[in-house]
Amino acid sequence: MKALPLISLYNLKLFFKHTYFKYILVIIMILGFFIIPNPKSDYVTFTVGSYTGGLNLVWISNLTPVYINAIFSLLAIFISQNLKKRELNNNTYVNFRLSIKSNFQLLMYKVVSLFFYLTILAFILEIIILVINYQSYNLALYLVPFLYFTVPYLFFLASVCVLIDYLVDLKFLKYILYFVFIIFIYNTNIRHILDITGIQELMDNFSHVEAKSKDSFILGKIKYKDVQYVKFENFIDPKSWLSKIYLFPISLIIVLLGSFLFKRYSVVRKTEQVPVTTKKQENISSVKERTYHPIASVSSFNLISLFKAEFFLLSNSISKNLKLIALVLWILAFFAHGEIKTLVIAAVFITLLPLNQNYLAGKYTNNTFYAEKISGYSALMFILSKFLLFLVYVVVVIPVLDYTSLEISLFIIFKLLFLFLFQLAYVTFVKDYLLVEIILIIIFSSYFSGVPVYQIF
Amino acid sequence: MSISLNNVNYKINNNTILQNINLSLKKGVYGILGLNGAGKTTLLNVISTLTKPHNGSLSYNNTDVVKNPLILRKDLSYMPQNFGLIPDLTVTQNLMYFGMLKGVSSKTLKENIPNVLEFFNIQHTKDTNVKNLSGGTQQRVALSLALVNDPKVLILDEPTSALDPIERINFYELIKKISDNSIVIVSSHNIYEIEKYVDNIIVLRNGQISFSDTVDQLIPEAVSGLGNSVSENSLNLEKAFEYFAK
Repeated sequence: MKALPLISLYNLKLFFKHTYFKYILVIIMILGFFIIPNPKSDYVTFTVGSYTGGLNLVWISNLTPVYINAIFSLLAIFISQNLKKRELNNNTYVNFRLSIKSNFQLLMYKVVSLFFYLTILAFILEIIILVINYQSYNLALYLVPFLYFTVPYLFFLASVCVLIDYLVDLKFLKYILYFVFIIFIYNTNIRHILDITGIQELMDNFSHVEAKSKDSFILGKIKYKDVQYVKFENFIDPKSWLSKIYLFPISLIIVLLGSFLFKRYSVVRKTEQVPVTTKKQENISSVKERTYHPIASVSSFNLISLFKAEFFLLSNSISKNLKLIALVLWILAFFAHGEIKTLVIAAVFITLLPLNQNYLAGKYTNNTFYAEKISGYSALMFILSKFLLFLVYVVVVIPVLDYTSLEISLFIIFKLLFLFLFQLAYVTFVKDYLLVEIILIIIFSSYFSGVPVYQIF
Repeated sequence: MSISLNNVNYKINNNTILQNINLSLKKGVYGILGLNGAGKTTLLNVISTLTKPHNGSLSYNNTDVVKNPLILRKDLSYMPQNFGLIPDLTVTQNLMYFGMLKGVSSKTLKENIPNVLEFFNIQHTKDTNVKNLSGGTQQRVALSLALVNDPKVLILDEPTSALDPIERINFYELIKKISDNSIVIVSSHNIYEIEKYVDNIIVLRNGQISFSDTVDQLIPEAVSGLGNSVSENSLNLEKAFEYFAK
């Protein structure tokens, strides 16, 4: 493991050099402003029943690391997405595959670099919150909860995210695993036993408050809520450092187990190999014998012909299996009722997520934008043709449209239009799709769970 | 049919990539040669309207293409160095989609695709995802794609880098034939590979044209540039190319 720090530092450097870094930094800075609201604000970000913490040093230092954990749970998924794919695309994965190091070592390099990256970002957020909500610049008061709650969790998070990315190639399965992971760490029953993220310890501090429900908490804005402020006098007294430190050995064990499943020496499955049908003799005799007589093509550059091309790409952007699953679910949605209906529609949307990767963002991620740019069609025609995706969304919601009320139906379609425009704008300006997919998953999860987006935790 | 470039300049962050490029291209095969970083790909990008020159003019059949790029784009096919294919789609799906973007009807494509795949000896890969093909086969798919719309202007950036010798010969024989009715521009590092098939050679040195004429003129002009110190017999094509490229 001698070379670990050097390789991990190199990987860490790559993280900072990635285009995402500046966007992540902007997101972190914005969050830094809103996580701990001023008492005069019309929103709160953490309540138990109708109680929340008053703005003092104790509250800020206790709440911040717990929130950082919640935010970084999603951020880590975003950052670690496609680490392996990026290496494959850059042709650097071959070095990984041919390395003499063990699978465990190689995976640990990735885990450590991601852990350092997340820790540095988390510390930046901690400092921003400290500066914005100035109470005291005594760093030690902030550092202890940060070391107790956040650092072990980020190591655990980095391990899980790296393992999922390197072990699972099937994107759909990856998303399911991320979803299961988030449910696992925030599930009420598991939280009471393991409290991986520290939320339970924070809530236990409200023990002296007589709230109707002590088992719910909220992240986000609540308007017009009558919130009572509780002044906390003492810092959270760590139950036991062991209750968080155990995450380090657990993470190592998880990576070790994962390293046995990791097959880095074979990435091409036998069934995907192209049959070799050409023979040397055939090749030699074919020189100058083969002729190509193109059929004179009648070029037409109108909107209809572009629609046909875009429809072709759209319809081939998701696999046949996913298309079939989406169709079956969609038909079921007509017969389902209530929550099941909502669940089915959300599932249809999630099966359609690859459309972002292949249809909307494919031209940037696959370097095929040149074909669109030098095509005989104008840029405006391409934007119009992308509305096909919006039409897909409209068709998907047909089972839940309220046919008795035109207003409600139009409202749902209007919301979808907004979602589509957001996707189109993000993909066009950022030239990627990952953040869009994560936001869409949050929106669909929110839709499925019936909980507003700002309360999904 | 003609393409003209007059005093074309292109810069990136004050670094001059192309300087005072003047070219007049008519039907035939043009080979663009130069060392790494000489500006070959940038020149191809400018001609294909992917990149706008900072100044100078580019015209196609006497129409200003900088202002009206669609005029050229409708007759154009371009193959980039990285092949520009969608890895998750099959070979046929790639040809169908990009073919339709080139304005070819799906009916014509369905008739043309088997023909062009057969020419490049990759008909057996038609239902295989591009990401599962070798580099050489991917390049043949990209070449099939470049030809599927029967272009009047064909621009190919290092089109044979991953092809075996037999496929290279086949390919150059084909573009020679195509050039009877089209302008074909090919970039390459290797003068011996293209000398038999190109009508004209354009050598770039640090973003400037150092030679633009027929292959036959390369050695005499190098000799004349070198002065009396060398004779035509003592200079081969490679040395002559080096003289203009370095």
